[in-house]
Amino acid sequence: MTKIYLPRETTALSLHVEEVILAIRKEATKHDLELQIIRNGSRGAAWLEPLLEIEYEGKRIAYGPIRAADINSLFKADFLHAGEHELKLGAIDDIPWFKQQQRLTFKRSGNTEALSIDDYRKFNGFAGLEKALKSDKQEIIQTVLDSGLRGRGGAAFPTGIKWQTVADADADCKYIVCNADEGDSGTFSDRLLMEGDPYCLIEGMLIAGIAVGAELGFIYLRSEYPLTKLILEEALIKAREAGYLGNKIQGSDYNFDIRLHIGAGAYICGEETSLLESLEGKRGQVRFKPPLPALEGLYGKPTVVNNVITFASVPLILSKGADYYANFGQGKSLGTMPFQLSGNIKHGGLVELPFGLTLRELIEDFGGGTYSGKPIGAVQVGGPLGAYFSGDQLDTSLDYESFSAAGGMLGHGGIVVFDETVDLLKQARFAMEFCAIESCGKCTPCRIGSVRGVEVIDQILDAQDPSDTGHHYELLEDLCATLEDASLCAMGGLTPMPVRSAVKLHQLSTSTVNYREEADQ
Amino acid sequence: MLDIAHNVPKNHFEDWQLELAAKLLKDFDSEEHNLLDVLHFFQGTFGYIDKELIPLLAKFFNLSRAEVHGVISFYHDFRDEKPAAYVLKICQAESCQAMGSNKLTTELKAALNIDFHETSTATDITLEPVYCLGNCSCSPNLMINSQMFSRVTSESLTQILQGLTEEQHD
Repeated sequence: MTKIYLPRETTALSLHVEEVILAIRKEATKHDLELQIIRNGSRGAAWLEPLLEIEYEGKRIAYGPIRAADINSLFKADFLHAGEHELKLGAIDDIPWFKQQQRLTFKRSGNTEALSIDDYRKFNGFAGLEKALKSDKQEIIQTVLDSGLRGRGGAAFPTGIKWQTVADADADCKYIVCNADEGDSGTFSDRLLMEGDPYCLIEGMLIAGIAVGAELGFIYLRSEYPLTKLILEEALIKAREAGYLGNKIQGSDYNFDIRLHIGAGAYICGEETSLLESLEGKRGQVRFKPPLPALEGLYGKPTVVNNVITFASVPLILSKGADYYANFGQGKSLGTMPFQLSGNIKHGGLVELPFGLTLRELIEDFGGGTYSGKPIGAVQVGGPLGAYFSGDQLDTSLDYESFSAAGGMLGHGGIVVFDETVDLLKQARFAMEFCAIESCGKCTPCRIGSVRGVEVIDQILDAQDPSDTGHHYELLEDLCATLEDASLCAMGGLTPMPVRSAVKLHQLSTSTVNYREEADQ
Repeated sequence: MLDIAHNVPKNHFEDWQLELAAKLLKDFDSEEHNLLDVLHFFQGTFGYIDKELIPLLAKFFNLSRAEVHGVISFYHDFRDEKPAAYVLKICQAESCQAMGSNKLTTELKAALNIDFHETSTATDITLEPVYCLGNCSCSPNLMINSQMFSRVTSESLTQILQGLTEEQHD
């Protein structure tokens, strides 16, 4: 019986994969063929979705992107025996877009049936847990420390130090919290991981629980991910049934369970203290720090708060060792990063590579340039609080330090490409507007400053005489400085990053235009 | 081509009944569930959070009514009115902007003749903004109830809307 793989994943669903499956079943019945359709996760090549794979002579042969209307011709081309067809991409491992990546965290996603624990085990799943169960707690934390893993949510804080702080805290009860409130525009790696390899997240949280002495974990998932919710719910049930959650994990003395909670559409709840408030069922308002959540987190107890990708990186670090992981990357940015290409991009999706390649390599070699075919106007890296870069600044190396030096941040690895039609002043306005809409309201600079920021930029946009806007720019800069220095959290503190960078690029481009006009005269 | 628009299940909500709400609340455990879980459940059941629910929840969670109201009003998801059969959320964030979501939004508002947070009774659609649906590599995106549509163009938007309105006449 031929095995057909088709993702059960949001992007594939948005591109009508369910219709494709209906069409395949219909055609198979007509030809009296027995097929097994396996629902894997996405391999992250959104531009090839729905990506269909068949198992043929021990290889996975890919076809894509598939529409329901292609099914008839695919059967005619005998795709079940790897027949030739214009949508045939060849053996999955030979496709350059995949071959040129170095996948550690996303090694399994797409290869396995996402919800099959057997499949998960077959692909090295729970090997990290086995190691953790045999290790001393301190050994686990030391391995995470030695791997150099830093928080993948955006702040890039060393994971091992956070775990050590929680482990050393004296308390009757500790918690593990997974931040799955992936609100940054241009990011979707958490979603892909949870939909494509949910047990990897569960395993990572479980290892964290063992290491710091916590028996309860929480996943805080954003409400915009309804499919992810269904998949996680199923995965948690199956993990419990298989003895990977609950009392006496795999016959050991450890107990650990995970509860899934759903957010309610507030961007700020991706900020860890706001997330904790929200998990407690309160308004998602930011807390003062200190105390750190590692010491006084959920319900005042020591809490590890990590992003999905951070937890999902841990099983491999445990099973293959700290050195294996730390050999990827450069400087203080060790390991790999699942970069996410989106916006106006031809070949968008998730590309996992060690830190250190340039933005240009990622956008041109993997992304294939803009979707519209027009030149790049700007690239925003690191979500709505990240900086805008011009098409001339693409040689920045993708690692935490280089981006910080270039006045930006890598954040959660989201890269949004705009073509030359972008109006950067409007993007600066949007950054302020977004801050005004999503501010939790606790501190004045963020709550009021963002509103004033929108007003000032509107005055610049409405100005009859562009040369008479100097005082508005001065005021805008003053607001940015206040937001940066006096906000309670990164929402207000980082909003100036996209604003300033977009304004700077806007001013540069207009001065170039003026210069050209003068030269033409 | 876009038959899938016909497959978007309509929202079906119970009419608000205080007695039913009180009965349903008994299935929750204030230790295990938080206020957001319960609010999500009731919004899923009745389509919105009725004012009468506030004292009930306050008592259940041992909070003041002001605290419960504060939570409801903080989050974008919770509404105080029953929405239409279709809730259409169109992404306003950067990645979708880069692919023309601003123009698409203007067209959508014009086609439905409503602004954000309003309901078009003729089409039975409530329109909402959303800031990222996490499907950014296939921007621009919109979501109708729980069904995502990606790479939306002016043409496909018209087809999607047609699909929804035709469904109502079926």
